[in-house]
Amino acid sequence: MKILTHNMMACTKRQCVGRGFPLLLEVKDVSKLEQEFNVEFTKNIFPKLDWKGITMVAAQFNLNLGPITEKSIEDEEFLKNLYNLLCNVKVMTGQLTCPNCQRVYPIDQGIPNMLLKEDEIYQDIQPEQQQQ
Amino acid sequence: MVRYLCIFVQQYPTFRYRELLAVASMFNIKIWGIDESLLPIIESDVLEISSPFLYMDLESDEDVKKICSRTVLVRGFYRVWAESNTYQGLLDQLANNYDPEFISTFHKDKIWKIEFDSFGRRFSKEDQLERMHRLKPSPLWSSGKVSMNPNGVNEHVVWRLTEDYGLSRDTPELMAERAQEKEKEKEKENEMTTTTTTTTDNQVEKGPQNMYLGILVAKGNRESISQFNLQDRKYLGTTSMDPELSIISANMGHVRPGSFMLDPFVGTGSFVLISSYFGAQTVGCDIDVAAMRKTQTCNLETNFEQLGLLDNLVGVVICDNSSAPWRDGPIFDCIITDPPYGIRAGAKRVGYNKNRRHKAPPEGFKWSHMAQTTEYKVPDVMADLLELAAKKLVIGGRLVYWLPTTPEYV
Repeated sequence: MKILTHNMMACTKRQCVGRGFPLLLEVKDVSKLEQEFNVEFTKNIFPKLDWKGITMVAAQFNLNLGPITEKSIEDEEFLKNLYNLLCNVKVMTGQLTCPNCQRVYPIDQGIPNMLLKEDEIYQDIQPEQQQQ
Repeated sequence: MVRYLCIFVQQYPTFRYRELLAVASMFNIKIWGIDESLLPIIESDVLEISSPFLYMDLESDEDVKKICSRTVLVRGFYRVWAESNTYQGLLDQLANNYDPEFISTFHKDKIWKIEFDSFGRRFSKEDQLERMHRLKPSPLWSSGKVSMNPNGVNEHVVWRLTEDYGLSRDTPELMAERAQEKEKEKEKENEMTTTTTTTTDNQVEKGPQNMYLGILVAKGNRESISQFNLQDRKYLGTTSMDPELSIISANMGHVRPGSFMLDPFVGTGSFVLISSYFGAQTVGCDIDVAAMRKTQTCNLETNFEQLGLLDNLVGVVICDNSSAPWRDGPIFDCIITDPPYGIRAGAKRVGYNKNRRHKAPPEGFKWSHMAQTTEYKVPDVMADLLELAAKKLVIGGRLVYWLPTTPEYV
């Protein structure tokens, strides 16, 4: 899971809507990638990022992005560092924890598992199904 | 503004014009001068009545080239020099419409060739050559050098001569007529009248409805299809999408460099692969981890590695689209997907399965427990997909999805 994916995700429980992010990241195994800086994409994604999540993760990886202002989008050096954090850090094993309900989502082989268990789903279950 | 003739391929007629429009609007290219009375024919589902010829006006060759860099259902754009239903007509037009000096020196210092094509009828190589040579009287052919495949030449003039034999080439009447002829021949053979060998070709040959002589401006992007041949892919599944249809989907979805694209039912990843090829950063989701990661060495990422596109794959996430894991706010530029309809792959979502004994996972098995899944009904699939698109697409973002049109879904 790249940090970009982490930045876009939230707890999937209904009760956590609007409160389930940024997910706390615990890292066991991480791999660094060597992807080429993609300025076009970084500029496109810039306004959609959740900066609370970015600063949280940046601190975790000891990366100093510098002050974030509205002008940062014009700052090539800043964008480069941002891209490195978003796309060149891949969490292979670890877990994500919802800041609201403390639900833990595991990350295995680089893929986060955001599935809830059946008893955590709030959906309209037919009465006869419930009885069984 | 220049008038061009667009020749489509005779494939997926209902998508041809729509794909062209989608690509044009993606590049902010304006198209004028389309004869809208032709559109029902261009887009007809019935191959026998669909025609691949459409005139349109565009700003410049640059715009044409941009469009052709993406569209796969366009064979090419041509600037037409002459149009008639006889060869004499073509020659007359060339002589009358152009300055003799200009036309006789047009190919000077240029390398050129001519291609022949016909719609609605087939010709042998010899006949094709003969037809090209019918244009020889024009002074246009008097200068320049002919080469079919020049190497390292910037300016190669490619002419195209197209004969259009019209739409209804295999009407029931025609087929009946042919069948009758065959029967007559058989009867003749049975009668064994060997002495008289009459030629049956004394019918007057039907000429083409129309002929176009034009210069190629740009070819469509058909070559990219073969790069994604399913048989070349290391990782495949029963639901892998045809490469041509995947490219059309990506074009409809305005996938371009820098886009952020999501496929919530990624499966073996055809759409994310193609979108990555067009420069987007892509995310895929699926409830079934086995679909995305079959084995350590053969999985969704293998195909990206194979084509050198791994940089464009942001990642895959195991999730249930009925409770999607995305935070609030618009995130994605496009969502392209082929939702499960329970035809080739069953649609599932997390929920109580009434055939299971335990409702809740037994104590101590919390981690390794695989969530039970239950049937994901088509209306729910669609409702969740539309809700996802409404909430997570940016303004002006695009949702492209496939819908089966078998009788039960119409």
